[in-house]
Amino acid sequence: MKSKIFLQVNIFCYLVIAAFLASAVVTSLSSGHPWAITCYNCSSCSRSCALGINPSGFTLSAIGNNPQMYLAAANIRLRLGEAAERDPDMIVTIRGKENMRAGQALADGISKDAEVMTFRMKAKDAAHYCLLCAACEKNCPVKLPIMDIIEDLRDDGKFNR
Amino acid sequence: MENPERPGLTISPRIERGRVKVLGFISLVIFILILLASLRGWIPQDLLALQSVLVLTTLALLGVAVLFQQSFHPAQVLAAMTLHPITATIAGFLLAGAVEAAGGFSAAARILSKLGKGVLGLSGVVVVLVNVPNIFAMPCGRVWAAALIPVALAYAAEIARIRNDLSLVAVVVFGLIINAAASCGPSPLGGIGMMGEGMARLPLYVFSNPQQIAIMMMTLFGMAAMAWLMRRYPVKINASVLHRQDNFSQQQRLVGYFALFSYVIGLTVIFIVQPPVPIQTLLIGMTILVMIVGKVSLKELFRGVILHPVTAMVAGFMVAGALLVTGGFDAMTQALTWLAIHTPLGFTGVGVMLIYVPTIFPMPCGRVLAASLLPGVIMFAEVVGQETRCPQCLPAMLIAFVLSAAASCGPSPLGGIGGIGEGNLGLPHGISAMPMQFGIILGVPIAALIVTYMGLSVEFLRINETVLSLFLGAVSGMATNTLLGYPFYQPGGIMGGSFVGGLLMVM
Repeated sequence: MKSKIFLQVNIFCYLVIAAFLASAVVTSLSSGHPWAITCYNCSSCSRSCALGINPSGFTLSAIGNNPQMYLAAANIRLRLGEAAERDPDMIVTIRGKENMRAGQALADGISKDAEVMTFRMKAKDAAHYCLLCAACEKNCPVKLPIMDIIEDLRDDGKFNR
Repeated sequence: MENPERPGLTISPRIERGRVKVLGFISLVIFILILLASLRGWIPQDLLALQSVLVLTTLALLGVAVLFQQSFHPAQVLAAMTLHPITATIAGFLLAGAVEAAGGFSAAARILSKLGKGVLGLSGVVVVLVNVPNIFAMPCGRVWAAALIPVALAYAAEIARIRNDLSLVAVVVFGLIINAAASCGPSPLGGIGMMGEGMARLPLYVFSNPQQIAIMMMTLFGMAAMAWLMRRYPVKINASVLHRQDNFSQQQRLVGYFALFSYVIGLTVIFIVQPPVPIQTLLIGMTILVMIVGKVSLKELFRGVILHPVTAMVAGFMVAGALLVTGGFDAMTQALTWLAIHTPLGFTGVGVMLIYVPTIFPMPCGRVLAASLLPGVIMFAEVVGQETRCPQCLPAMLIAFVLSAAASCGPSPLGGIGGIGEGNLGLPHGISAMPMQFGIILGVPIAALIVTYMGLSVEFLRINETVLSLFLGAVSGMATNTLLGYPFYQPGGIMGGSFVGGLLMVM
């Protein structure tokens, strides 16, 4: 009896695994960028980004159909007010203090005109600040059209294609 | 910050930060305890499979996140998922299944048997065979492991008969397995090394050669440890591996040779040309070609697919995704930083611990911990570099971590490659983990030392690296001679080892 229950638990868990894998295919299709599942996640694309963005985060957000997904963006300078207005949970470095949320920094009394360096931000926000230089595409070993995702998110922060 | 349940009431940022920290540490403790329980066998695998444990842990972690009112999107769990090794593994299994069904690997065993009677001798062929995954490094070691384990079994059985020592089967098979496991580190086709190079903004492929040289030595150390274990604590090996039948007709043998050469030449061309097409597409194309030529049916093809490592990998990524949601990995970095500041270990000691975290907690795919901990490793390496005033500290620590992570899928009892070898040889579950971990612990510093003292370069056939590779290759050959019971100076082993050392620099 005990082993039968565990057998059923095991079957349930394997079905969850299958569903999880299948969901990646379904969500990447619904984002309009199904090619994103072919990304190697090797981070080669991030080597030449002047803004310190890791563009493989864009492909991950397309796989999950989630423009709110956070990615590394370590070299964008903003005013604290702008960062907090765009996303209070954006992770920034301010006055040498690392890993602060922009909203928390404002609540701690730091001036909204203070300059911050971003650390992690949402994919849709990174697309907004992207320079569109396409350096990431040139470095991709399988030449994925990463700019398609960035241009898609840039307009309204949603996947529309 | 506004309380989402009671609008107008604000939560102090300090309380908010504390809540996030507590959640991170609780989830980290849950994860470590469950991992430990699985690794130590406290959770019986015959009742609850490893994958089930990982899925239930994911659900528990997400439940804790809900309890702590941590807002998250279900798709965030996907953030830790790297589909590349999963799809490459499945495509590799399909191709290996097709080649196996077409008789390709039996043909390989026949060729190796003939080579063993030639100038290279048994030990020379063994050195080359176990290093094939390292020479033609694929993005997932299981691509080669699935193909070469049957070949290694057939050839090792022949060696065991000749040397009258059944333990040699385990030495050869697990040598191949640790080599295959680590080979996803230096792979230029989306290997873990490329993740490290990309994140640290280093030139592409600078980690490949040092890793390959280190893996050659790691394989040797792993084989030596396995030989010691099998002699010190003899374990009964399934003797049926010695009696494999090769009853193919002449026509079937020709098809087998064709399938084998298509496989080897195809993978070599992909490796050298590195076309801008995902490797999975090319592997499936090759599978279709072998199926047509070898008249392989779909049923035969699916016999090659082993679901266990694939499901274990997916479940591992699910847990990693849940830990990202709950801040478990951030908590681990914070805990390590605290240890570095408040204990005599300092940043250097904790940095070394961090490098071996993937070997201590081996996951079914090294990418799970690599993707999660690489930012923390870079941060630590920068601090250690300032403390030690060693300019090469960052790349040295990074390559060591990458290699430790890459090789960790070999000894992982959570569906690692070692499990395939244990299953084939009828060995107790988890017995191969220690020897492989021993190999990793000794092999990893070699890559770091090469980077520290020779620097980073993508120069083709760089003299100091090439000389070192040839020398260590020869040493590897001598040691293999000894392991197989021959005098260390037997020329076949030395030639085989030097050949491997040379190929590592060319490929």
